[in-house]
Amino acid sequence: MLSLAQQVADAREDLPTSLGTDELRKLGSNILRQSLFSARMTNAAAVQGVRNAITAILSGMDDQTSDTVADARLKLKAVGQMLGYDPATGFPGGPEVPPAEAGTLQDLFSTQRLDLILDTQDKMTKGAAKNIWGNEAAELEEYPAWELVRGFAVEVPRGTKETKKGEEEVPEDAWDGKEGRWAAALDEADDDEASAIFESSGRMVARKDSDVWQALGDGAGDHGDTLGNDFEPFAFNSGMVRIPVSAADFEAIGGDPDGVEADETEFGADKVKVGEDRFDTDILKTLKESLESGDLKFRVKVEVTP
Amino acid sequence: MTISIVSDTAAPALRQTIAMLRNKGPLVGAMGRRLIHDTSLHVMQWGIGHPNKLGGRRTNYWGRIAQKINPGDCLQVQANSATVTLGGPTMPGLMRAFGDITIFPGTKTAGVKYLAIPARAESYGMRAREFGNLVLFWKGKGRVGGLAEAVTTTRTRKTSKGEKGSEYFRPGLIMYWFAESVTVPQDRSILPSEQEWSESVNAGATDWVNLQLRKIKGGA
Repeated sequence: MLSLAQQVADAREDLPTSLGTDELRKLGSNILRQSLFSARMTNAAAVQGVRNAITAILSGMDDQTSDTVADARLKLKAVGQMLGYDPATGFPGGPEVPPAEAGTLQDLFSTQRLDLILDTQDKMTKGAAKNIWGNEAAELEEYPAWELVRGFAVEVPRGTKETKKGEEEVPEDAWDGKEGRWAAALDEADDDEASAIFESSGRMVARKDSDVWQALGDGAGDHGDTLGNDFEPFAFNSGMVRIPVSAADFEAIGGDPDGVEADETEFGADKVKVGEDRFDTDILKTLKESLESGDLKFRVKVEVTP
Repeated sequence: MTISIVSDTAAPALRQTIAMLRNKGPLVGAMGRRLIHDTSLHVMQWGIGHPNKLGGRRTNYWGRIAQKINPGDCLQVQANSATVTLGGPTMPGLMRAFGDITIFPGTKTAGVKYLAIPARAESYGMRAREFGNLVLFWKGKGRVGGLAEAVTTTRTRKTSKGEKGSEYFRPGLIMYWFAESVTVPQDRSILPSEQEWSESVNAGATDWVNLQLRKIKGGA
């Protein structure tokens, strides 16, 4: 069965485009969420190549194990050669692409550029998939909030800048901190509950239906490097991800876990209802006491198969 | 690899109580979800804490695997049991938690005889073919050693018409070692221990029971 992230990738239309990153942002997040694109990637075959590379990373192809980014990048470089792409002149006979210096980010098939494309598309499909499984009824009830945490190591995290004198702090560019992106997004979303949690605990936690997630992706605080999505990666080359926060944990830090609404998504069921099952109070109380006293302990059985 | 929530250590009377829970799906589902979230977080943190040995750029291999560990893809809930499936072709590497893994060349590209093992930080996360300036080097007895940066040398020789120079490449900095196979040793710490998994499912069960009681009292 296809993974959720693969289904998200399959649902997206190819979008060969001559537009740059800023112009793409102006198209609006809805179009970009539903399209597979890369700035200035005008050639349809090249965009198809990116799609195949993403599929190979997410699911593997022809019964093989999933590709690493390096495997996928190598295949895309072969596509660039096959299409006759030259950074100085673009695609032969194809739509114009601004000339680029070989090996730079503007060179559509450079290592740097392909890494950025693959990393962004891989994280975007998984981030969109997270909005699907994270909004399923039981999941929403048990984990009503997300927390923003670092999931990937990066060389220079936002909030620092490499200068000739060494590393310099840029607090307004950091994700956390009083001047950072999270604080700016909280202001824009007007989320008092998440603001109080941030102030008291320093944790970047908000309800799944909070507007703070979209504000973060829209670049609240005047950041131009974001992708317009309410899911990760909120900005290019970002290593931040959302992890689910349980109802008990959310309540313990001052959140209200009740009545969180399912996020609307272009990819999956956008209306889910929290389960209405009711269980016998006596049975539940017995279970609660037994779990708390240690009389009841569940075990897991691990079966390792090749 | 499959992880099943199989049994409990409850006394017979308590087992009867559990048996009275007509639909156990929501309970075991909650336990499975907690196990999955804790496992994903564990793998993500393990990856952050384990940079490449050579100190090269981070490929975030484990972070990408962690993002694939989610209830939408890994959890199956039946009426009485939940099964979590991890590993398989989309999460290669996770099986290292349970034994050594031997990697052979040619599984992705037919005809490849050697694995290229990074010898320097800058070759980490790059395929040898992406470098345009590598030459083979040998390690005696006609055995190929790996790939090194090509250094251009001009050799001059005297001929009847005077001196004649010719350029040739010789190996410089070693970038990759060749190997016919590589065995990556088992590391159980990649995944939570079975004890930690059991703690996860019990925490999931406790939270679920509390949530249901809260609903009955009028919350949620």
